[in-house]
Amino acid sequence: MDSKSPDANLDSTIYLASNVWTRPDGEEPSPWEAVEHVPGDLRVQFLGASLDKRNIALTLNTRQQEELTAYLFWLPHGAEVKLTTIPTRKPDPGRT
Amino acid sequence: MKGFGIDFGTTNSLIAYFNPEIAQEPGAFMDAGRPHPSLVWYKPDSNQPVVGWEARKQMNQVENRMGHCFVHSVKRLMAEEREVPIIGTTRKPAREVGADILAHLLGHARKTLPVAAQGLDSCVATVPVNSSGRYRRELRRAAELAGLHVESFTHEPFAAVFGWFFAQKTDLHRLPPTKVLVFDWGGGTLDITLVQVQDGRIFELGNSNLDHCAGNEFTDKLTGLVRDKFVKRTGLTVDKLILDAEARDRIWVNVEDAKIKLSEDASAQVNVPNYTYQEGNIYDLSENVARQDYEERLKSDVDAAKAKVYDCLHRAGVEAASVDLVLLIGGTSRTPLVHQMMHEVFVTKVVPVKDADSIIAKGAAVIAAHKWKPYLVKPVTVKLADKSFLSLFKHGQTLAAPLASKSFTFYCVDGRNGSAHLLFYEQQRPNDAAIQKSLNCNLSVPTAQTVRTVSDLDRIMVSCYVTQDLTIQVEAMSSSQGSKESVEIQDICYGLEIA
Repeated sequence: MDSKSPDANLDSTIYLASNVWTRPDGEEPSPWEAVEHVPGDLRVQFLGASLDKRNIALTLNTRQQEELTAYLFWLPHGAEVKLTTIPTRKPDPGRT
Repeated sequence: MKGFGIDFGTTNSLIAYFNPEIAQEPGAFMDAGRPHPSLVWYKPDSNQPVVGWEARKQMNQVENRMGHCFVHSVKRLMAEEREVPIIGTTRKPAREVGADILAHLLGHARKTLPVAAQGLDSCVATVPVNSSGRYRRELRRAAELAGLHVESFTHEPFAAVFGWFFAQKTDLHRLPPTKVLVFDWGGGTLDITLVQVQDGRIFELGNSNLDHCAGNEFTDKLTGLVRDKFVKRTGLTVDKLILDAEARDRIWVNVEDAKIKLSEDASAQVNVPNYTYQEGNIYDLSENVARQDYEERLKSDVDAAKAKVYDCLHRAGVEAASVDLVLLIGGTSRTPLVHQMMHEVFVTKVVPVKDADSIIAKGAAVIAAHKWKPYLVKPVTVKLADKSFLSLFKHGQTLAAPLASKSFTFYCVDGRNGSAHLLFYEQQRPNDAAIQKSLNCNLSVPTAQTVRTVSDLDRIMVSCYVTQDLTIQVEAMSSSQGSKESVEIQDICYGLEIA
């Protein structure tokens, strides 16, 4: 595909959220690292957790909690969530 | 140290040669002081096509034209890998028509070249900003057919900067930091590039372009104006006008001439004898068009061009007032309305370009002679799910042989819609990841749609490599689906180290 093709231009990147993740150094991540970056609503499915507030607070990181709220109430699935918190990376446990 | 530079244009084409050991500035092989029209005349009784001014003259004169064929604007057809009808039912790939034009240019150049350059067979070819990888490959193949090897490509307005400074005999190494905006509105495209000259390097800060809104469309608009006047005068109806191929060719040539004339005069006359026939009557077209009426029809296009100028500045993160020099080149830039618009934006920064017709080819010849290798100016990045950006290729990455390649593995962290999205960006400044501009270029990779556990997350294997066509090819496939998808990123800013 050509990046000038009409298909490419139709898919405006403005509203489309990225759904891929890798380590910032380009090294291959483990799926357990990647799971920290799945959207909040999918993370809830993974864990079989209920929408109980305490459960959510324990299992989802701050970003995922915000995403979960946004997808449940006002955003279509896959749209980019404007976070009120600054996204942070978790420290890499395997590296110094 | 010597080289050819090629400016293969929609309307005109030119080849230039430079050998810094024997001359201070490059020379372009014009035809009686003019570039060669990119027009080819195929005759039914000859295998030898006629190219350039001779074809243009004949386009308006050949009578009894059964079997004769004139092909213009083939550059656009090459970008679409189209075939062109030549004689009768014979068709030719557009690249072969392009090769006929390039062979004509090369033949013309070789007649007058210094003996030392007779065996030279490589060049730097110029291409529009954001031209597709497919067009670049077609141009490369056309050049090979004509007997020229394309060493590398360069953007047309970027080459013009070299042509300009060499014509001014400027020592680029001693030039204080300078920002040059090149506004190149030709027959096929509008290309805008903002270039920075600094510390022995010349590099692009931003590009912008407008496709299918250029000289060809202006010719169509002027043709429409002329036709409307003709219809009004004769009382004929537009939908009943019968135009054969010959009449269409002749009005094209005459309107092209009138368009050029309107760049300098307030009005122009278009005369086409035997323009059409209706109910047994033959009608001649003889209309006078005023520049004011013509420019009225161009207003929306010029407004679109102005928006593209600001788009280029925005992409570069530069204010109009910070631009030091503005070069207007390309035939369409000669339109007074365009001049006026550019003066409104840049006030006194717009300078007249004397050799505007040859500046691109000369600039390409300078680059070819010095064998400067391009490098990537703005890192190309992929947006990640956590809103950070991963750099595929960093600032300074060489874009010449040996061609770089890299591999990455991503996880698709949300495959519920059946695809992983690789969204490509460019980092505005080499050492500041905060500002990322979208390249409007995505790659969707099919993934598994059902994701129940962590182990269902799809791995996305990505390979990206620099091509010989000054583009970045990205290929990707998911571990679950296995179908390989690819995209070619051509809208990249690059620079040359001249120190």
